Amino acid sequence: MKNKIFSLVIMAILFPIAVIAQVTLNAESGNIGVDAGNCWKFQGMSYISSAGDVISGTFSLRSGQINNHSITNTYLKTPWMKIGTGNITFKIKLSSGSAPQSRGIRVSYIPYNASSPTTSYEGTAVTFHSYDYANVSDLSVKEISVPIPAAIENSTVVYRIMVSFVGQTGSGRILSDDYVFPGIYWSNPSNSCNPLPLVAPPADADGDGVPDVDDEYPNDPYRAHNTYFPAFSQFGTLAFEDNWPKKGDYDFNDVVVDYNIKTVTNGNGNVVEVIFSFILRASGAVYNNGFGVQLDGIAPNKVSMVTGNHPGSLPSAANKTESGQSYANVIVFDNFFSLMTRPGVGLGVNTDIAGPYITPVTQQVVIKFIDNGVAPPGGTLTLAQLSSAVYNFYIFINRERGREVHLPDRSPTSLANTSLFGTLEDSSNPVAGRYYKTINNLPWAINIVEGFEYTIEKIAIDQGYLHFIDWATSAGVQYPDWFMNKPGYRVPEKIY
Amino acid sequence: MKATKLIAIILFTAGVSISCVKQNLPDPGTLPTEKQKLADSKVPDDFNWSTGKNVELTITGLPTIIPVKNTLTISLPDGNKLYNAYHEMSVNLKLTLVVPATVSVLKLKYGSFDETLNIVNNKAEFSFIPVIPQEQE
Repeated sequence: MKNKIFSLVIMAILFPIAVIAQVTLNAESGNIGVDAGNCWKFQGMSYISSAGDVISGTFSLRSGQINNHSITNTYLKTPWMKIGTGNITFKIKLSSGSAPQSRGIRVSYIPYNASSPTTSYEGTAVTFHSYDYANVSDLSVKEISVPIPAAIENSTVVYRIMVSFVGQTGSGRILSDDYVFPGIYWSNPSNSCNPLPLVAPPADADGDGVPDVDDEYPNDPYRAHNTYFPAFSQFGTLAFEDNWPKKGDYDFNDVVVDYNIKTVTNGNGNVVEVIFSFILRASGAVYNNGFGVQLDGIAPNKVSMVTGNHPGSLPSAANKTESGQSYANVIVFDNFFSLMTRPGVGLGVNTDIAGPYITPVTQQVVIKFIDNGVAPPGGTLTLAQLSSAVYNFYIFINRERGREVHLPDRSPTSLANTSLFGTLEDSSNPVAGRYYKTINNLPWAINIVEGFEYTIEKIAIDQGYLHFIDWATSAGVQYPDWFMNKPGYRVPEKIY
Repeated sequence: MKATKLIAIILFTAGVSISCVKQNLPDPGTLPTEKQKLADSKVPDDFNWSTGKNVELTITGLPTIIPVKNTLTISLPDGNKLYNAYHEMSVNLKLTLVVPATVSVLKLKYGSFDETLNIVNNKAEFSFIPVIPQEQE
């Protein structure tokens, strides 16, 4: 049985990549792209698996039709290597063809030329071995063994080795397999296959494996990168109606909260913490509404600690997620008006133009997952597992915990009062995964990722935004920019 | 005859009156005339009422000979980062990203890779395994 495509003989750690002392190629990946991705170069070559042509294993390499003696017409090149000592070995075999005049191989080394980016830093090839078939009708397997030239053996600089397939006239290809090149793999597939650093690896002050140049926290071993949603310094807007399961007035200003989510990951790509910045902008409501977020699919024991939230008297677990939930829930606040007091003029806060403008309150809530390098009992999460799609925002109406309102088709929490589904104007159907929509699919909450300015009290959103209905009834196809301040899009006097 | 004259005078007066009324017609596109109300609208069942859309991004890893790690960044065309984390090149990755509905491409950066990924049917994909034109029969 053949070895893996690259047999690992000696492995050592060298930032950020380990090294091996022998580089091999046997085509057993079956996909020439996999080996090209690992910095092999191929010209006029393919992988074949036809029984009559394979030299060993399931796949072998096959050259194209050969019609000249140029070493740059049909070849393979190794990745950049620090050349070792001993012999380069491989097997070749002629495939059947008609009247080939000559066939052979050339083995060359290619030095690194730092001043030649246009040639991928390849210098001029130096051929150090030739083999020509004495009998082009000989279809037997030839074992080639080529001593490494003294000029490059045990090198401290890097080279590529090139095996070229040459010949003239007729048809007939050259098959090859089981290449072994003594030396250490020294290419970086993530950097155009350029050589790895030859001297010192890049600086990494905090030792988290992320070079300082790539590290947004170069002196913090527990943090490395930031990701933002919707974007750095930008806020999305969540706008709710609070009359569920009855229809509301569609002014979508009963609770208006802007959000920005910053996710911090460490050198292993695991989430360290999520920092929510919420801006409480308005609540044109009689009700004392609360606001929370569920991390869909994320168990509460994946969280180390929550800080900065205001759950009021709602019960919390030791890590300050809400008690009694299947998935991690954070009650951001239990009552909007406990954070933004009603001015006493108008219905609520910042929806009635007769009332005074109240400066919005910014609330920062931190969900810590890995605390100073210590993972929570439930283990770590990757950024892929905690993507922006996980966040399931909702309000609960008038401090009645079970009366939740989510974005359409977002699932309720474990504490939602499911007996309200399908009552009054709500047409939720949990079995079908249908939630928080009327029979005509109207919502009680909308999410404007780009942020938006809500309408004044009792003014339905479609009266302030003239293409809102076009957008909705076309399922978002028409006027996806309905919220923008473009000519003919808004009625300014109806927008707060 | 008198009746005919009377009718003619009435019609003329009415016509003049109507033509003299100030035309307070709405500026097209600024007032919702004759438009249906949201409360009476019927909306497609699968509409999510968000200006964002979920995009499923699939990244196929390259089985590398040695461990290769680098910073993987997925951005919007304006440069805003949607995903930014250290990533091992050999690992397959499936992400669900929320992006503005108007966005049709994503940008991927990883080391020297600098790619533009088209979003088709709310999916985008990228493979670290290159497609190499193979020598034909």
